[in-house]
Amino acid sequence: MADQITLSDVDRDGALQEAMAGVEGDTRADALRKAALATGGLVGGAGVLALMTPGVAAAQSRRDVAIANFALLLEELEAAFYVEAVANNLLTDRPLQLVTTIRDHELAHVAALRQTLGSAAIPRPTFNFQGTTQELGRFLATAVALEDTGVAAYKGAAPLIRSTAILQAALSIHSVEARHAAIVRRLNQNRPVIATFDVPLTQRQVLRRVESLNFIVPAEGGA
Amino acid sequence: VTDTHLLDRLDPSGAIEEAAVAAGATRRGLIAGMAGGAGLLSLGGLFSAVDADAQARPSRRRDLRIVSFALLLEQLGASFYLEAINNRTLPRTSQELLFAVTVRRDELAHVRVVRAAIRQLGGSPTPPPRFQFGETTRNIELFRETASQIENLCVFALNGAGPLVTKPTLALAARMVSVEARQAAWIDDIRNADPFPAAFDPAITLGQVAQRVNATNFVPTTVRAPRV
Repeated sequence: MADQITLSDVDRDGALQEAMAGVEGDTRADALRKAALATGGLVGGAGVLALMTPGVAAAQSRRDVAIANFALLLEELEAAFYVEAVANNLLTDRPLQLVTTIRDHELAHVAALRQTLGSAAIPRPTFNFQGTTQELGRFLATAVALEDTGVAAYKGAAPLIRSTAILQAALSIHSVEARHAAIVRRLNQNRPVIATFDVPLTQRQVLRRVESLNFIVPAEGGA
Repeated sequence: VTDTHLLDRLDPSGAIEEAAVAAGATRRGLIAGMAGGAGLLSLGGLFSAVDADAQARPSRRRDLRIVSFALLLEQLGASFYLEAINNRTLPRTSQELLFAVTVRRDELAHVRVVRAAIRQLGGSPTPPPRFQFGETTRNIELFRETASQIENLCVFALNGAGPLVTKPTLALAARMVSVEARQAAWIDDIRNADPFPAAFDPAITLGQVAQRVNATNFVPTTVRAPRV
């Protein structure tokens, strides 16, 4: 139970939902969801306060914690995906080198986000990559989807971040994910640059994409 | 076609407008974030160089100065690739030519949108200076190396500028910086260099950007960083 999560755990106190509602226009379903989640609000907040020094705690907002946790979920997914693919010996030579570096970057992103979030971090999820780490073609196509989604997710989140330190970190990860995207696209024989202007995705859109992959194993017995 | 329409076409999902709404709602949080932002041990420490720039609060007037400076970088890229293509430095079927043609197209579009942004911020965009690229657009090895320098500089510069600007301008910069990062990785892969040398891309100050541009000697006059 402790090492499993559902997607709703990422935004346990509804802060990100609230933030997105502010920019996207609220819906009835969101309002109901917020009401249902409101009771959990104190748990996340107390976790952050306990971990941070007083000055930093003041700079943390519930929204930033929710955004960082959402980023952590994506980074955990990417890290686990590359760890499994590299272990499965799908690649050799320069492609292997490149993908191994990407794996190490995702692991570094996970570690940095966990350190920043402290006890407010979501538990490590369990993944089932549905065979996509076992065959080169499926691996590369999935890597392209994950990296492009990661870039769009950070891009959509950046203007919502309040803390300068977290914004700086998000931007520095965002451009690294774009580099990853370009390289896995080249490995997959795709154009490394998709458009003149990359498009941001909202958290809701990213969630939809991630859920459609079916890589996250649901927690037993619910959240 | 007016500039407003241009931005509408580039922002069909309304993300930039969304960010504008968000910016209004988070002003107090921004100020709090700046006061305490440097304290995060794990992530904040990476960016001590740019923290000094981030002290003052974002404003449209500051956006105008920073975006005008960014225009020079985009103009530099656009002119560089055009010159290399026109000089026939890159073989017809080479990866380098496909790269240059693609990036030239993207940089030109960035120039157009950055000019539109400058007008929306109440300024008037300046035409590009007469760049002097010397041998870098005549020799394919120098071309590869210089393209990598330009693209990586744009990434580090936009990452550094992001926290200095208002949310709508940040949203626009974010849509360009990932394209610059893809281009940087592309050319570094072509030249067999490391396309992602770090897990966290650095951010540099506007002063450092000006220094690096001046070090290239591509711009005939000395480039000065905008006041922030």
